Amino acid sequence: MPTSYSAIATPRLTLAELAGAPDFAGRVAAVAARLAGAEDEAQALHVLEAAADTMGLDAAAFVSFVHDDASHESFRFLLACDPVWCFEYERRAWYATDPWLAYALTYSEPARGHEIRAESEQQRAVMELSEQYGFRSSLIVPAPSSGKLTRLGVLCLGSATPGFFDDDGYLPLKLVARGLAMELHGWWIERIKREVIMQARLTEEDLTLLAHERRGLGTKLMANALNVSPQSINSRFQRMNARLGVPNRKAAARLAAEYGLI
Amino acid sequence: MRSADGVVAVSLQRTCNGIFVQRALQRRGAARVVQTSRFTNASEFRKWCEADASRFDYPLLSARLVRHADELFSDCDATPDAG
Repeated sequence: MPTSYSAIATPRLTLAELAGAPDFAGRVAAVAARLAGAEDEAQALHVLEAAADTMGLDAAAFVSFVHDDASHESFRFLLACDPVWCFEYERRAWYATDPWLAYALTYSEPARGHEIRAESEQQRAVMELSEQYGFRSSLIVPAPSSGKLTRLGVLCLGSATPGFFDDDGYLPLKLVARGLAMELHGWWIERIKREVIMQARLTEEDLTLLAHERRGLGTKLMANALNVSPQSINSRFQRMNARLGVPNRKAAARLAAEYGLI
Repeated sequence: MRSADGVVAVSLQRTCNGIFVQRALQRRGAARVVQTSRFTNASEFRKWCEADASRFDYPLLSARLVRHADELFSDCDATPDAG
């Protein structure tokens, strides 16, 4: 565990005391605003660490999840907590049964760990594992996407203090945590978007074609709109599909939407 | 740094707050998992490497990582304000 996340022996402030301090929300918001200038994951992680520190937490993690299809499913973790936790989680392949993730896939309202019920032994095991790694008390903050997209962010906040999130400080914390979760989600999507465009070498015209496909336009209409032949449209899609690693243009358009390209 | 089969890729970056690590795992037919974290000293990084089950599949990569991290932490110790 990085030393900054080790157990703190000094007397702890309660959440009500932390959140009741002057300009608590303003200070957390000021930290979150630094994400706009974060150029890479290192800087984004630094912002998450600083936000967790400002909120008086022992651990924080942000997970960005895209599961449009098996070939492009991805989990991206920013870990302001003991990173060994992620190995244990990964080793047991618990993504499919993670109760926090399952909650975030269904609800947009933040919830404390004890408000999320484990439905199986495996889900209980996931929760017990998180308790061992700094999330004795937890707050799960979903960052959903609009437009029926599968991409999702989940901010997990943790404290080694039992019942930390259960006092009068919960409401103000919930408000700022939601803002932080949405900012982190937006940052990741922007980052992934740039990554996909670069790796698949997509041009502006490619993105226009993908947007047309997403809207359901046929080849002839696309050809007319771009003033090229239908054969040209088909061959462009074939090349694009190969670069994106998808079987057809419909999948390409869905992937483009999931990653915020269109 | 990546494994010969490309399944595991790890990058290390020295920052003013320690070593920033990004590890990506992409097994065939499974989700891509990318984790990013930060370490403030070499022993914590070693502990993390020892917890990584993939070190049994990729021992050379694991050894190279530890060596490289040791070098970066040494540089950090020599120039604590490096960014």
